[in-house]
Amino acid sequence: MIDPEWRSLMEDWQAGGPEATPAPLPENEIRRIRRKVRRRSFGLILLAAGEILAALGTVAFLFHDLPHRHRPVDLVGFVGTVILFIVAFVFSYWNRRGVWWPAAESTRTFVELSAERCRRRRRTLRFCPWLLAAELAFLIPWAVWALLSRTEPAPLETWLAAFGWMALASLALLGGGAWYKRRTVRELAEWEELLRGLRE
Amino acid sequence: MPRALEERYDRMLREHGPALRRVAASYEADPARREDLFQDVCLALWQALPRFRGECSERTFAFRIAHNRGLTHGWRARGSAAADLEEAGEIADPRSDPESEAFEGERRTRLRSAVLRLPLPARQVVVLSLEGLGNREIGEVLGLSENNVAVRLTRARKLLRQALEEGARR
Repeated sequence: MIDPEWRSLMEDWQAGGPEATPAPLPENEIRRIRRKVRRRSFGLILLAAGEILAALGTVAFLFHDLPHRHRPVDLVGFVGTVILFIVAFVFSYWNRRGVWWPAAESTRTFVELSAERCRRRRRTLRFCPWLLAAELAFLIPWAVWALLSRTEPAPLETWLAAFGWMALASLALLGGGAWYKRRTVRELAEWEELLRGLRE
Repeated sequence: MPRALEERYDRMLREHGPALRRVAASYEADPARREDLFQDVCLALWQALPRFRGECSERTFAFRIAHNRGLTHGWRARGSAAADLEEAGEIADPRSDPESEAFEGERRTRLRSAVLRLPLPARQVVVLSLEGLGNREIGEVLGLSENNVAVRLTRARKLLRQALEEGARR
């Protein structure tokens, strides 16, 4: 039984507002929404395809001149890169298990899974500096070895370029990671607050 | 997407589209961002529909998606709808005729403003109740027990009444 005051509020709510649209939704409006949704779905498919292509491209790049690698420095470089790539891939896959995007779940489940996704992201951000340290621990001695084992001594610019890029990439990764970590912590706090509200 | 699903999607939009727009309006005061949110909800509905096996009613399913997208939008848009409302001032209805619809328009605007000012958990139950959902259905959307919904709704209605009175005094 709905009291008259609430019924009146329901009528006001369902009738009014700048976005008030008649029910049922008119055909032209449905067509417009469908067009937009199709465009955005296509964009998402392209994005996913781009990610897969980038991963496949990396693998192809690693293997493309494998048959021509005979020097120990090249083989060590190849094996080290492949191992680091596999470690990153396995961690990423393991860390994503069980957290899907639950658009049609109840709000409580959705909020719980959203908070869990944030925790996983935080775990990734904790893992990244360790992976970076491992990469540098491998790349720095390997780069020195590679540059020293050239038939002709490498000019100073080549040394600067090799280690400059490494330093820049590391700084960018650490800076970006710190920014993303702050954002993730804030987001997690908001999801957890929502969850407390739903559990009260 | 198979033809049958497309037809189902169109039907759901036709039937629940206006309600989904109002749910979007309960999360976002800014008209442009509100339209973006509504498009997000439509996209999420399109993506989730092939996996819908009828575990709940279509209305519950659509409202779940709308509320979940609204929550994500709230986080992404940074800041609450209420905060935006304070900045934007009262929501004006551009189509309303100030002479003939002044009273009704003002009452509806005050209701919408009051709803947007509610804390999120209260806002969710109030919006679903204003849309005509019963306690069991609200529970299915939010993942709460029927009793819990009843308790929350009583509290939320009080808050809404207070917000409406405050709005009337302004």
